[in-house]
Amino acid sequence: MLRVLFFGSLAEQVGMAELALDWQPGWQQVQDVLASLHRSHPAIAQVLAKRRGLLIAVNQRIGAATAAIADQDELAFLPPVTGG
Amino acid sequence: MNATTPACPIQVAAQFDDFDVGALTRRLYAQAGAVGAVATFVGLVRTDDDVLALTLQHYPGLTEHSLQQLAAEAAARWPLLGIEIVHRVGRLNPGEQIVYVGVASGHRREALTACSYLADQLKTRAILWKQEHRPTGDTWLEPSDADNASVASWHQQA
Repeated sequence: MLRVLFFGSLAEQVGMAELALDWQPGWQQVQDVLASLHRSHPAIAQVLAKRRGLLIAVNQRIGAATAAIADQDELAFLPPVTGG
Repeated sequence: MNATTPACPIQVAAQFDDFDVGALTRRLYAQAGAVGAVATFVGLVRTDDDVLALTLQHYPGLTEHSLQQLAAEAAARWPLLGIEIVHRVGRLNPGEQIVYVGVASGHRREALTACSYLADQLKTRAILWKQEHRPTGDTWLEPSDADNASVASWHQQA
């Protein structure tokens, strides 16, 4: 199982804050999951493809679409941040 | 930083609860080393427009990590003796405290500069999302052009 999290405005756009995906044996990198989303959740995949400046985090560490991913990991998509 | 420089103690928190500026600041006085200056910054929810409230969303774990990383950058850049960052999350009303940055150092210049640096970096690099609630509806905020320019100016000085 892969836990996928969406934050801020992105959660509103995809219509959920969290999604559980059954683990696929072929997944090695974040981009493999994104490719699968185009088939399984096309509406979410379209939002992710359109949003500019999204950050990716795997297990709470910022990474790229080429970051390694494994079963039971937590994958998060982060829209532009602002604090202070 | 050379091998004889003591590590700068760093404390960060992302919390729903309010904070006590006096208590946080006095904790910095007590850091080991010859503290001669403590600079602090407190951010408040502005009361000058029609914002009813702000909601700050965080990502537990990653948010604290981002605050820790910014503090570590400041500690590597200036000779500091202590850094404390507390960022509130959840729904905050106008006038409420939203963020505390405190920096201790031997002399005022380093403390003031590092405090200003951290206040600027938080705007674009703290892992937080901010939503404004107005009578006309809710809006998710993104860093302004001015915020991005402030952060860029620190990199040009590096």
